Amino acid sequence: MRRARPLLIVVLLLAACETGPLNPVLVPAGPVAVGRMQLRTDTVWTRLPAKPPLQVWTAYGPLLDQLLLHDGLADGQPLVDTAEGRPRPLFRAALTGPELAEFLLDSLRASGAVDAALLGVRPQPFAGGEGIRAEFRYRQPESGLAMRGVAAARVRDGRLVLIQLVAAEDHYFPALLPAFEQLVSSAVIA
Amino acid sequence: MRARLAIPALGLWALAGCAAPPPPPPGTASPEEAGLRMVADRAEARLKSSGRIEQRPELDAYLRGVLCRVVGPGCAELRLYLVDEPGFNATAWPNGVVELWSGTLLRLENEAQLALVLGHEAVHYEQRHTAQVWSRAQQSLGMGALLGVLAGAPELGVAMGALAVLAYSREMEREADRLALERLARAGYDPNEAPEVWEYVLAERARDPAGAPSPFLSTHPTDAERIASLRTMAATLPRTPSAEPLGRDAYRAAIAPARGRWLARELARRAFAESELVLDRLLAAEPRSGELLFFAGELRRLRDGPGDAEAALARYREAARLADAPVETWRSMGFVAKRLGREAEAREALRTYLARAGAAPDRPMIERMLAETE
Repeated sequence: MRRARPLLIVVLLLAACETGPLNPVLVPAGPVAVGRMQLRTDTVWTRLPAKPPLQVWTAYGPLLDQLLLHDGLADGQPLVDTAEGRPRPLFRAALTGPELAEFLLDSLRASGAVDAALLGVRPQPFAGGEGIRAEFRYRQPESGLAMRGVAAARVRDGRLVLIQLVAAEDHYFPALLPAFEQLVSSAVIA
Repeated sequence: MRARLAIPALGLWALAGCAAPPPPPPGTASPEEAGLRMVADRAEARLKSSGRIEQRPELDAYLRGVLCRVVGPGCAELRLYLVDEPGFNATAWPNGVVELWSGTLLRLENEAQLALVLGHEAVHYEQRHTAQVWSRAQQSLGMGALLGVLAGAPELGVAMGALAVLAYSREMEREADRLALERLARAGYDPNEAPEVWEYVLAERARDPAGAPSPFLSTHPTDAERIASLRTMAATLPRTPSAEPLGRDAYRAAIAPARGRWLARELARRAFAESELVLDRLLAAEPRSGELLFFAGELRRLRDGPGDAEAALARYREAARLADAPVETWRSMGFVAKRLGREAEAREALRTYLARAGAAPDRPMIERMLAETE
């Protein structure tokens, strides 16, 4: 009866053996750096313990929303890990745009997402280059809560640059979508 | 020593006329068992409100029919849940829940094998094996306080998982084998299918010995001796005549509507060695299935090892000649052809995909890919 745990639990487990904040820390409105990615946020977020260089932020709490930010996931690396060390999707620099959306969707599934489906993927400029915008829906495995996700991603110098919001479909996703759009439009890679 | 202890137990069962002893009447369970059932009841309530249960009424009715055919009137006490999880697993909870993972249905070949798995779990419930395992753990490991922790666990699915890592003893497995095999034969199924199930579980493990073991194998210890014993028992059992001792066609028809989605979930695990065995077996039974050939190509595209792109392309091409090939066959064919530098073939495949796919969610991306290469 073992199974992959939700992303939050994986992230918290990994935090125990990695550097990064051991406790949640405030991300105030204003300019902020995520590795080499420069951003500007008008929303106050809380940064959760997570395995660097991945950052995980939340506005209303990790059960209701999570924002994933990565300034350069290397070829052959996973976006998420599983507590049991089971296989998980690995990023490949040669992925086409639709395959990149598939990688993000399968990473959600590996984190325990149920009934995950791609709603759409289209080209979108991001962080100074051509990227993609992908939208998903799924349900949380334990609560059955309907979730929505949106991601901006691009491959730069063979590495994945990513901002991804997942939030409860009712209220929280539409409430946080403008904050996501604002972060994406402000993203610059040094 | 354990094998000797099992013999008297089986003898008593035989003298009892093959009827499994009923669970204890209400109020007679030990405090430990009553506590365990309380935890299981809470976990069941949580499972029912979760997003993990497959919503397929027709398939539920079919599975329940097989369960009741093999278990008999005792099935009224059992509540069967088909859970949306890849991998092979079936579990009896101490309160009468039988949890069956959807990945199991990709790994069974016919209704007789399904009946064996469900019948085996029913015996674990009826014989109170889970409760016995738990009591033994409490006594030997001093885990009494853990029940209180589990009862208050915010995620009771995790609590049940903690119970399930406590493996059944080999004596319990022998008892479940014997009783389930008897019932299988009495219900008109071919008991020779029973060892096939366990052989498959071992074969999947052998494909990836360094990986995490199957949850089912973790809780149901299995070896070659057990399989040989099952073969011997199956050969000597009196069988009820039946026109359909395997039930292969009914089984395939029942799972067909969901199979594609389960295969996509299976490949999302990226446990390629196990998934390859699943697909090889399915394709051996249905070599002209466009759906299965598509997923055989998907496995190789996602694995992306030496020679995989060529192998994937070959399977997509074969699938594309069959009527039941999913429309995504042409999309993936385009991706792989592009990866191999076959631009003309990639363009042709992606154009075919767009022509067939209608309002596909990735249409804008595919159109962009085509525009960049033309």
